Amino acid sequence: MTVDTLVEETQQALHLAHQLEQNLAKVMHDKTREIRLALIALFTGGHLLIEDVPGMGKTLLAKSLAQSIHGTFQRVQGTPDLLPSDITGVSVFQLDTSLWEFRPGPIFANVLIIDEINRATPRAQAALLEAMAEGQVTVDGTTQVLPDPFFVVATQNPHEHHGTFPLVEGQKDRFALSTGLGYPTRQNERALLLGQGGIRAFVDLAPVVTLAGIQQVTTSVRQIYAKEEIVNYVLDVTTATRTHPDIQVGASPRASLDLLHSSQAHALLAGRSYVTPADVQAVATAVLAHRIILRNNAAHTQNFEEAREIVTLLLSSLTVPRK
Amino acid sequence: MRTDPDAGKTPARLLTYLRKVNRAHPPEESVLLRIAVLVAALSAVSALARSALGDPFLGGVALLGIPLGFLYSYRVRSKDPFVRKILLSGLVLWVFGRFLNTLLQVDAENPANIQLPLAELFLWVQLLHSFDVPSRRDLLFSLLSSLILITVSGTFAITTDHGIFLLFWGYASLAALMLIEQSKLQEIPQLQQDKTPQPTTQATRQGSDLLSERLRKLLRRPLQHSPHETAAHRFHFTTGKNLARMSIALVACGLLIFLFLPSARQSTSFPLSFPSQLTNRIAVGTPGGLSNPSLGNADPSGNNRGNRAASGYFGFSEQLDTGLRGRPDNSLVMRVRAPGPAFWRGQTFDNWDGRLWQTSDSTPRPIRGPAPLLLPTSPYQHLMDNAKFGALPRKDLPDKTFAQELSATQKTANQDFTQTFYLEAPGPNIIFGAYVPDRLYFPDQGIFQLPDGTLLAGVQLDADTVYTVISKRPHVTPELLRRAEKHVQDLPSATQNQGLLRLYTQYTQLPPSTPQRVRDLAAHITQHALTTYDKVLMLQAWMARNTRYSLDIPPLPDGADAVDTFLFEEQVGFCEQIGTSLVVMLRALGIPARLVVGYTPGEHNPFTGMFEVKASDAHAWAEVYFPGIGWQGFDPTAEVPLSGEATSFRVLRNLATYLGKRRRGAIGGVSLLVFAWCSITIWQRTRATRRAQQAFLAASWHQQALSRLEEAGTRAGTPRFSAETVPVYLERLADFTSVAASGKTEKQSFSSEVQAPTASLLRHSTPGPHTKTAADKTVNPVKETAAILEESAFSPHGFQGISAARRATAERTITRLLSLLDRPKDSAAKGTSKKTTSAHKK
Repeated sequence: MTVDTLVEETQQALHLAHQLEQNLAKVMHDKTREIRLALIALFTGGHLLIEDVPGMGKTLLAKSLAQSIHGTFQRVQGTPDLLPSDITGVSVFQLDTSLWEFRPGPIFANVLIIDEINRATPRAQAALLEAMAEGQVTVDGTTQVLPDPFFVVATQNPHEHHGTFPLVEGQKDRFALSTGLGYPTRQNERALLLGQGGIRAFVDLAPVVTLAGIQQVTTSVRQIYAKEEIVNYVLDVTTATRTHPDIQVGASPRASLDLLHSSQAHALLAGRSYVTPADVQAVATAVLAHRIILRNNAAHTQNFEEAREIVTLLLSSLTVPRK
Repeated sequence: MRTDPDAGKTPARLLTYLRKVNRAHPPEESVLLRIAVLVAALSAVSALARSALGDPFLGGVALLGIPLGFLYSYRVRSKDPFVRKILLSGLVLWVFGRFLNTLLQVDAENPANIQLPLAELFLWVQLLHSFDVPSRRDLLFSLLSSLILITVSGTFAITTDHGIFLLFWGYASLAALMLIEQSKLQEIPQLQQDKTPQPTTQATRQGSDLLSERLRKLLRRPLQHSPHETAAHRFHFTTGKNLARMSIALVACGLLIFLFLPSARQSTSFPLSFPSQLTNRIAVGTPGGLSNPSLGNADPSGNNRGNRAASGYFGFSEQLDTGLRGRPDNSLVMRVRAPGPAFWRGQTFDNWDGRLWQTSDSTPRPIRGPAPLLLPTSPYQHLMDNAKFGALPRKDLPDKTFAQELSATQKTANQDFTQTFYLEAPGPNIIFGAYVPDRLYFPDQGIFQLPDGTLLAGVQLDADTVYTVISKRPHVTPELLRRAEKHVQDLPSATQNQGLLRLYTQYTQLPPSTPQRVRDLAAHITQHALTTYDKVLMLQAWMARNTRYSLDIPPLPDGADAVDTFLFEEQVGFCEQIGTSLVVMLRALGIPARLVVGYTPGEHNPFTGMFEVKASDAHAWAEVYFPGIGWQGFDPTAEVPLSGEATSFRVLRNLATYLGKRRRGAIGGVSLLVFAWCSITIWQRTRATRRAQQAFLAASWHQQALSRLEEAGTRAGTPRFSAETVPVYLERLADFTSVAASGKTEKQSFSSEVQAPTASLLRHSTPGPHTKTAADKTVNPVKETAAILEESAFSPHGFQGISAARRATAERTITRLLSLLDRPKDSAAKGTSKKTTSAHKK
């Protein structure tokens, strides 16, 4: 691939991303960083975990994202009685044809929103493992391929809230990025009260990108140039999580991969065709915070906020590549 | 002589402008480089003085003046060149005026006459320029000027001596070029040390010299940190070794080019010049008469029976006494620049009395005209249609197809054969040339032609005389000669052409004393031959079998017939005897023939492209007349090449003969190997150096910029944190400088930044070009610079991908930042820096 076509594709990808970004910004005021992280998750082919206290607009962000894409969109509400088959689908015996017919679950969609994922039991959560990692589900011994792209946006309430089941490590590792939302500024909240943005804007939200467009951006992201020093830096970051005294379980190789890809996507969104250390730093907390398990947290009930701080400190102790 | 800057008058302004245009480049400090250029210039001047300048004065002045000039230039290298330049410009103008003046006096027809004034002009320029070579650039100009000189002297050079100067010049200029490169690297401006306060102009200069400073540092101290830097270390020249290597390559390269460049042949179709030169004009005793210094005081009447002068050939005279003996030595008589070998004909003899050859009709006829002198009665021109030289008119030829064929052949072979004769010793006033001379470049007007075509100068020809003859060589093949034969038998009776009849009478003359056995022998030898050509060949073959060539033969007894003695008594002789015998025998058979004296081609020196003719190359041979074709030379001793066959001429072959046939392959192979080895090593080294240089430049631009910023930032109290990315750090620096500039230094809490840099880390790095807030619409130069630096560091194209304009933008911003960072130190922010250092120590 020549440089020119690469640049051209990057430009197109940038344009698409820009449209998505603007679309989401209509709903979520002043959440540039969170929107961008969501897009990064989308464009790296990963999944997004939005974690914050209730009422911050987690579901709104997820729905807005799904709404902005020309594709099938399903939603699952995490409840304690949610069963795996409620997600993946179930085979039903048809009396007229005397055949078992597979009724696809909500998972067969381009965008799947799992609201309050940690309210579902680990059993239901486990139904997502194969789907999120491999883009397929196996029901009754038959493997069904999920649509492409397949993008899971899950929201969760912080663990200390009652009636939640913390995500298992394997489940968390399958999310490329996690982000909180944080309180809006007073001004924005007032605008919300005055009926600007928020759910009202969501109603008018129209899809702006096609599935093909997203695939194209995904391809472009993989072609963003990451110098050897950058790759080393990524490795430095993930290795550091494994040796950090406060971290019990560090980042997995999948985390390294996601960090690199997310950095690439971040570079693309910044309009560059190459990754800089700033890109890595920008996405590192989002990629790593939900994956590491802190040592002082015996019950695995973890505070993402604390993890983010540790990752940030960790980043500040690493020398950025200089050339 | 400084002008007053506030003088607003026009002359003062003009002066300022002139100064600005002529602003001094940094002076060159390398004495070695100056010496190398000086040696190159001196070699070139010596070469020119030796090969071209008749006047030793100018050469001497130049040889003395140039070193003085260089010394002077070195001493005043850092002084104001203004007065000096004006003075020198005046002198150059004067020299140029002189040159133009000379040019006007020179006759325009012969471009060769401009060469000498031009060479003098170049010499003057070199001499004057040597007084103004303060900088490296000037030295390079001086080197170029010497290149012109050595080239010019090369066009004049006729001996291999020039090679020595060329070699000297080559080594010196090679060394100079390498030293220039080395000096370029060392000349890089001194890094501004931190202690001195820096005015803004200095800072600007520093900024633009980002690269150079790095390079300079690299040269000063050994760095082993990165592979790039180690590779860049090769900038250090191991000059001596490289010079040796390069000179070997130079010589090998030169040899190879020389071997494969067919230079000599090209001059036939497009000769560059037609030199002619006369050292002094001493008229010959009788206008149109012969003079030959090697005759000494001898009377041309033939009374001198003593031995010949060793240094010249006696034969060039009004008569040739075959009874004389002598051995011309190997002294050089002349050099001939010609596209191929030919016999350099002098004069002919038609009248034979058994011992003496004489010219029956030696009435000189003056030829005048502008150069080139067209030889109006040249035998060749009249060969076909002028009865005077006895050529058969074309229309009279019985065989029409032969006539047509002949004229066709002649037309195609009408190539110019340009020969330039450089006399090395005083010689006869005969103008030599290959058969048939057509045009002549001779510096004197008095040229005479004898009825047989012999050309005589009106002045004595001393050493260093130069003249150029352009000949038209008829394209003659054995077949053509044989066909011409068919018409011979009946000719005298078949034609009413008086001229031809006269020719036959004149050139078949034999004294009655010619012994019958000579005639019988001739008839016997040629009894089976059908054509004249075959008869000549048979006679030649017979003589080759039955006679022996030797210069040591007893003197001819008085009254004896020279031919009879040679053929029947001695059977040993040299060219005079052999040639004469052939002519006499041919005449006995009724074939028109005459004796020609001149020189054999001589030894070809492949290096100068010259034929070196020695006194011992003087020669006499026979010419036979073929109707419709003309005179064709035959040499029973050495083979006169038929002109149609003599054209093929290869430098390579000549060089091989010159160096010895056995060694040819070895020399060629060895030089090829040396050449290949040298070029491969040099290529590899050059490539490695270039790559290292490129890699170094590419890898280090942003690093230099950054380290400068970091150093300045540290000095100012805002060191970069190891985890801080470039955009963040630059923004912080910009913030700091703006804060420092507005005097709010107290509010900036450095200690807190040092302890908790992470808080701002991510906040800064996230926003990209998409957050199109109002502030972002105006391009922030600091952000832009950070982006450029990052691109240089991390984009696939790296440094190469950054345009010069963007680089300039970045460097400008960095320079600005640097100057801002360094400012608070001497002015307001003393408290700040103290605070910072203390914070830093924690």
